[in-house]
Amino acid sequence: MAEKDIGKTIQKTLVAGIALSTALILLGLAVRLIPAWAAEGRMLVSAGLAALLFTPMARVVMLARAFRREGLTRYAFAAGAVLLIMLAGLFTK
Amino acid sequence: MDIHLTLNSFAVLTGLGAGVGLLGSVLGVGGGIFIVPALVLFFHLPIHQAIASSLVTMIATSSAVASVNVERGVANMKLGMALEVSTAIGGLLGALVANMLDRKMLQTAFAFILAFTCVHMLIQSLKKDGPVKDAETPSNKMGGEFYDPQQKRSISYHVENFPLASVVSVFAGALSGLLGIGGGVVQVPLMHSVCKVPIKAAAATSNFMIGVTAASGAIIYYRHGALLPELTGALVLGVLGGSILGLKLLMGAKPRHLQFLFALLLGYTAWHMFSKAG
Repeated sequence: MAEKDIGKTIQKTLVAGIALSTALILLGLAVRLIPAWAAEGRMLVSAGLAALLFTPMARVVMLARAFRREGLTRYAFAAGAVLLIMLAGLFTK
Repeated sequence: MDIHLTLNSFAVLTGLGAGVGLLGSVLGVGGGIFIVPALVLFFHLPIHQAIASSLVTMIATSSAVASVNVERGVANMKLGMALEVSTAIGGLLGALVANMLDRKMLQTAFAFILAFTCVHMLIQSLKKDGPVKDAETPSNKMGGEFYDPQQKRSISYHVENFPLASVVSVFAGALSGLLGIGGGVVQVPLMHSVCKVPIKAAAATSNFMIGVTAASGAIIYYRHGALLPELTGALVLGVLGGSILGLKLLMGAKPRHLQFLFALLLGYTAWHMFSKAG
């Protein structure tokens, strides 16, 4: 039963990430069509893409918490490692 | 640089995305294998930018499909999370290497993976469809259990040879970061044949993992300024719509003749990419 609950939490996280990014991209592209607001539109689209890039990270964080709560320490550590690797990418050039 | 986004080009890009998303779910392959060549050959986009866009669209489709699979319990989150350590390292390294390579080298590498996928898909299309019979094995710590509506029963399985799968997954992640594909072409057969995970769970787990793998690579492309926001945004909307439609239309069927046709198309595209790189 616990795994089903974890699945629900992860599903909510993923759906929230997609909904947020889709809304921002749609809004941004619509605003972008108004010539005077092109820059604002572009910023909204970029924010939408950033939300999409961070969705897997949010999923990893939520999964780490769920695994820890269930006493699956080894998998919680794996999630922590994945998060560190992704964060390392943010600071790599 | 970003392409000048008019209503027209927005419609074309969203349409391309929708087509790719639909095809991806119908053929059971990720969108990257179609998006990258389409952007390079038709939109004359530098391959680094094409790969960056492809990776971001894959985060979207993977997340959308995974949200259904995790709820149903088909994707094995424990196995996925453990293998993601490898694919994330691979994705990051692959993207770093890609950003050191010039356009021609990367295009040649992509042409090779296209040719490989073409052969893989040809073999798949020629395979006879036998009834899937998964052995009933008690699940171990990393294993899982899911309900298969086609076999009308719950299937439990355990995971074998994890250390080997872990090493090979670095390679799958590197392919993703290097070429903008999901890596499922390596990951699904690996989990199925080496780890002995039933094919449905292997495919769902692979898809679940793609979001993290692709994001690890995409972050590097983003940091190198290779991500074109508006073009990618339009593509993401199309791909999301297309793959959701594909999932609804399809419900698990895989038309073999369509696979055969697209294998030939991939072969032709591979040849085109080779000649463009040369």
